[in-house]
Amino acid sequence: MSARRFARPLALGWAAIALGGAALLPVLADVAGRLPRCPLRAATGWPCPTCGSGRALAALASGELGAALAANPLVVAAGFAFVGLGAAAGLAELGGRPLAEPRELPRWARLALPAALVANWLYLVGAGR
Amino acid sequence: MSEPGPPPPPAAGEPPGLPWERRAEHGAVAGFVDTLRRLVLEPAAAFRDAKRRGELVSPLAYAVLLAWLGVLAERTWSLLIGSSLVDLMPPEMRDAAALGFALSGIGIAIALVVVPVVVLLGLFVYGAILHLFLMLYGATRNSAAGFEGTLRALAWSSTAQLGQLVPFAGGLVATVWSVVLQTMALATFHRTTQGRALAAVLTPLLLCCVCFAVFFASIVALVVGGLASAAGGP
Repeated sequence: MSARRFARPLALGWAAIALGGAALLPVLADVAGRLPRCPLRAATGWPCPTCGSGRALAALASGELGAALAANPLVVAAGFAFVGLGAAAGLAELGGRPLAEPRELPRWARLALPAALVANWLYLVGAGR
Repeated sequence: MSEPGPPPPPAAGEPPGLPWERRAEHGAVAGFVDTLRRLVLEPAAAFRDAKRRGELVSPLAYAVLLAWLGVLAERTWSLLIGSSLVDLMPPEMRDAAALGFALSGIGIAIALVVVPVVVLLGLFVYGAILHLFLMLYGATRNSAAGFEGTLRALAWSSTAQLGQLVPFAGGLVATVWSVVLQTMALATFHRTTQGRALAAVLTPLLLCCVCFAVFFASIVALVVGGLASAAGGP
């Protein structure tokens, strides 16, 4: 699978945004807490795939990783991946060895991503989140 | 000291860049206005001319500027309407209302500081999600722009926020316009089909907004059901 390198402005910009976003987590959690309730949940009682994101952010802001994962595991995993990859891209760029960016997902990831979305939603339904 | 010469011409095959990306020659205001005009009136040609790689400040700054203008327009509109309402209020209520509007002015100042942070965070987070779906659908296979291309596409497509100016249906207009612009930009920047680009744009929208879609569909169903019952009589 062919790959390209992250350009310097992108790598450093991503790192700054990711770390800035992590630092602003309490503010983001506060904003998320003020958003209206999920209309699907209110109308049908069924959660949408992103239900629990606000509670997950609030739990992360208080350092409660378990509660955050329980609220919406996929959103928490995606958040960690975003911040982790951003930091890694920035550090690799500063170290003179820019990260490679894949042109396409490997086959396992193309199967795993939809499976993770469905599994996460089934969990939210089952756990009544 | 020698005078700075004109910028070097773009290499063969490399897009020349939008006027905002070449504001050194166009001027900042003219470059911004001309870029906005092109993205509104001739988006396909504008996306063909936009740079795919290189400095990232121009597209990100364009998105922030548009968001700033949006906040200013919205707050100014609220203040104007609010100030005229103050004149209609009973005298004993005018002081409190005037203080409220003065605080709104402070709100504008705070919003102008917060907006860039929110816009940049939103662009990177949504860009990452969108790029993941682009890769899932094989839309980046022939792309030379990569994640950077997706970010650029999102930033230029924020032009669609102008749709918010439409009274009553602004949110819907902006959303549909945004989907159209993002699809065109992603197809151009990643050298993929519009079908793949559209699928990648719609998937996260549906995953996040499926709740809204079902909610509005339920309302439509209720209204249609109510009308049918009314037409059927007692």
